[in-house]
Amino acid sequence: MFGRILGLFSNDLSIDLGTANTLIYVRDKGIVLNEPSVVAIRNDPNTGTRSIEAVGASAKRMLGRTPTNIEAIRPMKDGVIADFTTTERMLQHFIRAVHKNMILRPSPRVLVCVPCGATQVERRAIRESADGAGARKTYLIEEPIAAAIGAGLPIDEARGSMILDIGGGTSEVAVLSLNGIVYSASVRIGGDKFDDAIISYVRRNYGVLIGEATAERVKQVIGTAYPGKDMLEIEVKGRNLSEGVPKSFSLNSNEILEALQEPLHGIVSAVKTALEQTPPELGADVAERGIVLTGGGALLRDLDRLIMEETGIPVIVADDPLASVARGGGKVLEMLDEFGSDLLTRD
Amino acid sequence: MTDHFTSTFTGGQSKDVRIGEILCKAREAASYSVAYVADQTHLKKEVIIALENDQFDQLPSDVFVKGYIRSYAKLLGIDSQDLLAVYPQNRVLETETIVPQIKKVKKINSLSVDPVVIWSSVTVVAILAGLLMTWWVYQEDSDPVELASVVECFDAEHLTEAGSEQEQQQQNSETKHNVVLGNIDPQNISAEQNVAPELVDDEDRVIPQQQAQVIPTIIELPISGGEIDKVRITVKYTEESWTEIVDARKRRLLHGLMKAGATRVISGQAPFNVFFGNSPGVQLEINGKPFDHSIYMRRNSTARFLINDNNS
Repeated sequence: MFGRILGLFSNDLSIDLGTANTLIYVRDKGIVLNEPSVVAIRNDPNTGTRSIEAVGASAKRMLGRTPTNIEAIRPMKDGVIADFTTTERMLQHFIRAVHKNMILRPSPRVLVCVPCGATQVERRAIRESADGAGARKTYLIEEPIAAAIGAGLPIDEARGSMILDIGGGTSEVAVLSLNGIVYSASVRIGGDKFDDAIISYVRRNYGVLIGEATAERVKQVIGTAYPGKDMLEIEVKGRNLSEGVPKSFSLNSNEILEALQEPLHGIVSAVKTALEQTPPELGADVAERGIVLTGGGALLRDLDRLIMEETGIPVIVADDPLASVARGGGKVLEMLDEFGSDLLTRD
Repeated sequence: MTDHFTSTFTGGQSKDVRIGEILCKAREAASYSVAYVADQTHLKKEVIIALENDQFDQLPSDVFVKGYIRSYAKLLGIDSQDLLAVYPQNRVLETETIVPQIKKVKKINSLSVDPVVIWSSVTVVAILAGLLMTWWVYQEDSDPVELASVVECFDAEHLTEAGSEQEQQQQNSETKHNVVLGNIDPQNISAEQNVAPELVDDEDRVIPQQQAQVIPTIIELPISGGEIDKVRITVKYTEESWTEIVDARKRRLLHGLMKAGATRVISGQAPFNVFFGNSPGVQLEINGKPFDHSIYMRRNSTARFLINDNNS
């Protein structure tokens, strides 16, 4: 009863608690927050206390550039919580940021998306961290379902739809029909693995160490998954491992393509396995209509082309793939009062 | 080529522009065959033809068609954003396959953070609370049932009725306190006020302070609002029994489950509506005279009857 009254003063939220970015969808308002999942913590050596220095984009700028008393942490790893307390604080910060002009302490109903490969313990951690951040009630939903709904796939039909959501930490591939998951798999390959692959490629071939932020920029600007007509180049600076001094050099898109081969192969294998495991009728539906790509990974140039060539099935990139999961969660939240919790996961 | 098509497309007549036409012209200009396009995009020829003819109703839902247009445009080197900007106008039908579920949604929790809403809610709550308080206070002042129910609080071990003519009873009973109800004259009140402290002193048992304080309070309470009651009823319980006695003014003089050994004295205006749950376990005296109510006993031991002025 009291919770319902409080609910009048809070907005229902759908949170895509991703490894790389956290997105919040507010009912009737759309995506209101899209911030990197990074927290900067200041350690006070005198009192031994830890306080939040920055959260989100400002904290991300500090990554790799912090003095000893500040540490910039990415509390999510491989799609799940790696640092419980920090995640809770981060969520708390984001929920408050969404309810900026509130007098009362917000206590919204929150729907959080979890990777389908997350274990019971990991799901519980996510639920508890949302509860701890001030949620009145926490619902969990499998990421592929949220992504499919967010992309606009007609998953309520008796037809198979395949979705491939490539996030920062994990890639989820799932076949959905009649509002349920027929097959789902989660591989711990995502944008982070792409960055790591670029870092190790540069170290191996140039003897230069570059930071994560630089690797991410390289991936976003010239990264490609399939050989294209145009060759792009970017100027990169890093530390020469043998001489120990900063060094500037240029990377081209073909090199990045080579660097990304391993993680890309992992994703393609996951898709192929999913197609193998899909019941034939649903497989035929997928082959006819195509695979839908969502998540930040879908923005990698020509990734759709690579999967298309590897599987022989049309591949479609969803509108605004980064926000698909949060948007889908938001739609589920809107449907919750009327259609119940069929789409939600139980743990 | 690309520039040409894009400029045609964005040239101001966007309403007349057909996505299929642009795609078709671009394909012909690039001298690609439909089969080649189908092969490159891994789509069926029928899909390519349907796209070029704007027959979107033959194609699956929006997300797919947009994807097809995007990959077709990419192959031809056209900017797909401009094409998709026109797309929703051409396609209304398909959105309805997914959206109805969402449109039907009741907006229960969708109040926005509007200060007007907050303050109006607070005002309404305050008014309701005020009304509730007023009602509560009024209820406390006016409810006569409350007075009768106070009597029930006392157990017969501590309380025995002693009218002005039955004062000898209080000396026989070691553990009993005296309460005078009904027609009280000032002498009785003063007598009772003296008795209460004596009981505390004389007896070994410690009487709870609360009860000692309540006794005079009850004496002072004018049950009938100052009027003289005509009938005094003494109810003695040899067994446990549910009892309800309501007088002519609809006041509930006695109500609830009484324990064995309890004695209750009530007075009020006849006629009384009496109900005993276990009537064999109850002895009744009306104005000091025993009254046999066994004739009213039903099969299930209950008894319900009316006591009139003439004690019938």
